[in-house]
Amino acid sequence: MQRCPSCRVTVAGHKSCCPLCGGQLTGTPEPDTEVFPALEKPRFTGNFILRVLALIAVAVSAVCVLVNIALGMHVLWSLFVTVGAACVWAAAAVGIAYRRDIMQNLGWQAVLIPLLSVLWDVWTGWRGWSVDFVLPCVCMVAVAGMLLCAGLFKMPLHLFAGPFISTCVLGLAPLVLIACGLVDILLPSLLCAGMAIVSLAALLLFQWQTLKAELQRRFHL
Amino acid sequence: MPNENAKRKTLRWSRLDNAAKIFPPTSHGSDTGVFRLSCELAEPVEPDVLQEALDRTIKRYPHLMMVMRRGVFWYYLEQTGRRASVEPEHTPPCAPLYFGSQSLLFRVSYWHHKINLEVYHVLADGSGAIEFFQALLTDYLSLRHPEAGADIRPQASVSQRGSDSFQKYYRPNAGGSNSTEKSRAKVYHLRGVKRQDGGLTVIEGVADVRQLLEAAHRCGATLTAYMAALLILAIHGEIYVREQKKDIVLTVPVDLRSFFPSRTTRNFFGTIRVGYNFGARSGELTDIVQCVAQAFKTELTPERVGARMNKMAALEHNPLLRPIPLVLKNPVLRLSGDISERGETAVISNVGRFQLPEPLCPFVRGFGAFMTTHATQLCTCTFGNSLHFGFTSAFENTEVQRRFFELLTGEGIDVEIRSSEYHEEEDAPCSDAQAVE
Repeated sequence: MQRCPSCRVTVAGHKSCCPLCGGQLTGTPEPDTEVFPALEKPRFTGNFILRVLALIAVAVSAVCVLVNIALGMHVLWSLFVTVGAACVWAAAAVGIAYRRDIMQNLGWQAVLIPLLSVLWDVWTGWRGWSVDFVLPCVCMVAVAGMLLCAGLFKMPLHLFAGPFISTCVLGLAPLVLIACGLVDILLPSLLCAGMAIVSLAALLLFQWQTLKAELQRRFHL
Repeated sequence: MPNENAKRKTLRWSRLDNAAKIFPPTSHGSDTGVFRLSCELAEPVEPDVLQEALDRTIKRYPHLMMVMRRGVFWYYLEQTGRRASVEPEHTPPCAPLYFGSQSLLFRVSYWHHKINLEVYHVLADGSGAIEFFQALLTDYLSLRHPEAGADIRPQASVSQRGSDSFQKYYRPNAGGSNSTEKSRAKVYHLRGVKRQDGGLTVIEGVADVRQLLEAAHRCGATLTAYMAALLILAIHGEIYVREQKKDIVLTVPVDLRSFFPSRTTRNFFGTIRVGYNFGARSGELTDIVQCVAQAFKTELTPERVGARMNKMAALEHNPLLRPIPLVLKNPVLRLSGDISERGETAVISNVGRFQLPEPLCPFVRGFGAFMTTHATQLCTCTFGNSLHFGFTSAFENTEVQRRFFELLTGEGIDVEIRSSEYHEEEDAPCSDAQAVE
């Protein structure tokens, strides 16, 4: 057993220094008496990947801005690249934040992507593509994706009821937009609303007990 | 099969108990809200047997098979069908357990001769986890050594174990007044460089409980009061002269099961605070021991403990606070947690005595306990004649720990030190011990 003459304690395992004072140890190491494993340093964390993505976004934006300046600033195309990179990074951040919960991930992407698209649409002179196509298509993909994942992973409804119902309700938004006269191309919006209505109806008709119990849990005071 | 269908639909869930509510918003950085109980065996662990033991034991503790989910107003625990698997120890002590609504809130790991149980405090407190850990080890050792002939002791019923005793013993309007709370001087806070990896510095000490009891009796103190006094003295070594007027305040968790009959394994603990001011008192060990013992005597009465518990529970029952959405409650709870932490210097927790059926004791060398902290915490526990000190600290430097063990060895107590630190290079130069002095 090793011993620290300064602290007057014995030290288990095989240490190069005294864990208390950092001083030299005497005696023979006994690796068998070690009680903590030597751990590998953690590999990349979610934060690290986000930082790498942020660096790539900044690098791409910086290069584009510099090239834009070098070529003459008749058209500010680098600004679009920069904002685009920021949007991609935001979507990736949501993806990484909810990497352990695919349903939440899909649900939040279904909110974020249409929102960013509407902002882009407004910024680039309103042409309506965000509400005509992006919102209904993203909602449909998210609802279909959730159903697919639920089937694939045999996930019980109560585990994804929250994001699923929220996405279905979001899928009804195109109906409101049609009523407000904001939608020019009706087909995607009608398909999306139809899908949302059928999904919600199926939930209420066949899974009412599960939904009721889930609501009781979620809203308990 | 209508019955089975009905069974599938009734999903068991429970609210977080009163003490558990503070952990989700305040768990961050080195303070993960996870505690570890470890058991060192006399022989290497057999993972397959451990898994079988875990599968058996967990059936008697179904309320541990829970995940934590976010509600609109509160977090809650929900039954999960996931299987709890034993795993080789690959995380530092008290590493986070909650990563979202899919995570199990406890972990059983093993390494060489050691079995660890790590529990997120939301699920159980030290006493509750000890009961489960003892049951797990009894099952494991009985499977491993059927010839030992250990009998399983009578257990509490499943519903007793899963009950919320805070709810049971809460009496509205019985919070008591604050008048007995002493107005304190400023509280001293340990300072130092926090660890770069955001983890904990873990140092474990092992001593003979008989030597320690002898030393404690020389001061006329109980073991807990003696250890608290030594910790206060060890912390005092860190204080700058200009800070002498500040109080050193230790938070001491108290098992409420000693005051209210309860067999729950969920949280049922309160805390008391013990302070000492070196500017106003002599600073002698006997005086600190006296001061600590007096504080224990005053605070550890059923009335005072009950009043504290009711005061804590009253917050949760406040009709104005309950309907605030969780998103808004979380920052408020985090702030109240931070304010509460400002009132303490360190935490000392006597986890208690581990007990196993007599025939299985020869297969066990000792137990240990560690708890996460934002500053420094000492957990002590005993098994047979060995007393374990589990020091965890968010700081890199180990001066408090060094002084604490120096005080012990100064009393003639033999101490063995274990540490989770490894140096990359075997020949890394050690600091000069004399320079530290």
